[in-house]
Amino acid sequence: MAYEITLHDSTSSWTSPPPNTPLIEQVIEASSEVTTLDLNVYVDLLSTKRSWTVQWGYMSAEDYAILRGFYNRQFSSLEFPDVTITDLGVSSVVVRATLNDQNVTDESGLVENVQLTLRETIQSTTGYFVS
Amino acid sequence: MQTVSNSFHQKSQAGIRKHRWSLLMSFDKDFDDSKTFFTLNSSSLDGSDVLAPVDDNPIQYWDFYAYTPYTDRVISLEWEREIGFPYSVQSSIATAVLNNFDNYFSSHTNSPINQYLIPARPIKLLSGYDSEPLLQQFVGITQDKPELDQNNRTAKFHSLDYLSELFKLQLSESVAMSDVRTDEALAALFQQFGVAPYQYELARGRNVIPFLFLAEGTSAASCFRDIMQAEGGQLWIDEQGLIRFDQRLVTATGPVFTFNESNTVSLATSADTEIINRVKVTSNIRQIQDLQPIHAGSGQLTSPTLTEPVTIPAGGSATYTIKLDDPLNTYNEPTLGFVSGNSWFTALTSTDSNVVSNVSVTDSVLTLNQLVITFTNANSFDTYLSAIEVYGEPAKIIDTINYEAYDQDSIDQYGDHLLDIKNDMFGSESNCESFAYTILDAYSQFDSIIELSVKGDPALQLGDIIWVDTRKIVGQFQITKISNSINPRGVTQVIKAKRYDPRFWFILDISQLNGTEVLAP
Repeated sequence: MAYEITLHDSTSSWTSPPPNTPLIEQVIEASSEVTTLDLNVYVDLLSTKRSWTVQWGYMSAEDYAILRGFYNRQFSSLEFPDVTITDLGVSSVVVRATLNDQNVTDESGLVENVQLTLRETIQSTTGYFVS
Repeated sequence: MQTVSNSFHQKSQAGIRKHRWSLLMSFDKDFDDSKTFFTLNSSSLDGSDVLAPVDDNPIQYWDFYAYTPYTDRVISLEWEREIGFPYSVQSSIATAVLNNFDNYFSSHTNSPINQYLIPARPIKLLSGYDSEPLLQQFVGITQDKPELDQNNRTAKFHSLDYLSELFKLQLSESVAMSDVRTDEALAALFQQFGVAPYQYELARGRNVIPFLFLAEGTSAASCFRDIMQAEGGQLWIDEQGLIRFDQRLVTATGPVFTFNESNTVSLATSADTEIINRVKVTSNIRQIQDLQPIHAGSGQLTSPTLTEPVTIPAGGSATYTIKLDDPLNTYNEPTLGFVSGNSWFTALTSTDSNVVSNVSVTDSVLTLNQLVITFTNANSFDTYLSAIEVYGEPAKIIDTINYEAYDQDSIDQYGDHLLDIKNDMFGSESNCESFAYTILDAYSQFDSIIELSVKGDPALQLGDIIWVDTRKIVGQFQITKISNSINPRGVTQVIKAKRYDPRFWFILDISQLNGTEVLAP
């Protein structure tokens, strides 16, 4: 298991180099725990979403440019990418992507400590993006 | 209570509840022509056919719109139903806050619904649990344009049910009916507003209004409220969108739901407890009279000659206004030349010669207190309206009911709390009496109104009887208000309820004499 991630949007598709550990999967829970008069509780579950934090110790300038392209197109095409992480059973899940600061470490453009956060969401009324 | 499966109720009371909801809107108000009822063995599951509601409601007008789901944009939903006292009309409202990150709901953009971001868009709201079919909670019409929050990129839609929307209208034509029951009067109003008979279900009313006159231009809200106040029943639009009316003495039912300490989150006695221990009703009883003179030119019925002739210009028209002492059931438009025992008018030339042709009544508009007649002169010379007599059937006041009932024990205990009603829709003293005793029966004792925040059930409805069994309060209560909300912080249902003492009314040929049933007031 190498836990590569594949990002895809209407412009491009890219499979990352194997990331470094830890690769964190977080569950975001919309729920409430309610206490009744007899001091018991019940739980109202509304929904759950996932979030993945993926990091690479180093990433080549070429790969970083591709990755950055997915991030940038959220603003230019108003479109979220989708992610597939086969080793985690994640397939084509629409995500909001955020990147940490770009830390270029040498003249080749090698980027250090790349951290990508992918938060599960939906495309929401597909095709109706209004600028 | 709306009819749902047992598993729906079980899921509503489970330790872990997985909520689902749906928001449907029809911005373009297009009809979905393909909508038909689901037919067993021919329709396909999840197809376009509409499942007949389990309550056996007929398919609703609302169901024919082509709705688009906006569930994936929902940030929060709130909906609320309440019985309005003393008008006995329920109203429901809903508010939806939606994600507007892409300006989909912003006007003056390239949004595909840009031209439809206007008021009065049909909206439906459903909620439920897990894999259970969702239960419709609200159907109505959006108010105004969406409220946009540019900072949070949200759009907020406020909606009212269709009945509330009707109340904003005015009568487009007068309604005059005699000896009309509440349900018949309501049906006449619904007809005027284009509500088809399959859109409402009206029980037989108890009140009979001797003469109902609702003038053109009167607010629909006041018409419906006056009629319903005199009936004292319930008028509402249910969760499915069907308008319903119940008369005031409905058969007592048992509790449909129990709230105890294991499904009640908080419980408080409401401060707005309402005591009524004296009821005063003033009502003018009108009766339609035979055809008779209702107006003569001089203002005195004995003299039809006008003191100041009205000029009807050559080839033109003139209006003549008659102030009415009593509303009219019908009237006869006057014709040129004297007629005995019916409406007529005469016209003169400038030299006081009689005009014998080409002057006629071309329009007449009746309102509550005036009749405006338009005369047209097709002659090539001016004419002068000289005398007029108009016959009609006035609805005269034949009696004024000043009815008063009170509960002395309650007055001694809590002081005088008066409900003073002036409404001419009360048709008879017996109806005033029945109404007053129903009110005293329900409101003369300090019956706490409670507010419970509960682990609720979307199937609960206004008027449902619930059994409350807590250390603080025990007893039967009737739901008078239900507020629901769903947002990322959780789900709430808050119920306002009034203590309920069931009355079992005596039914002829069924109840036993000297039994437990009581005579209906």
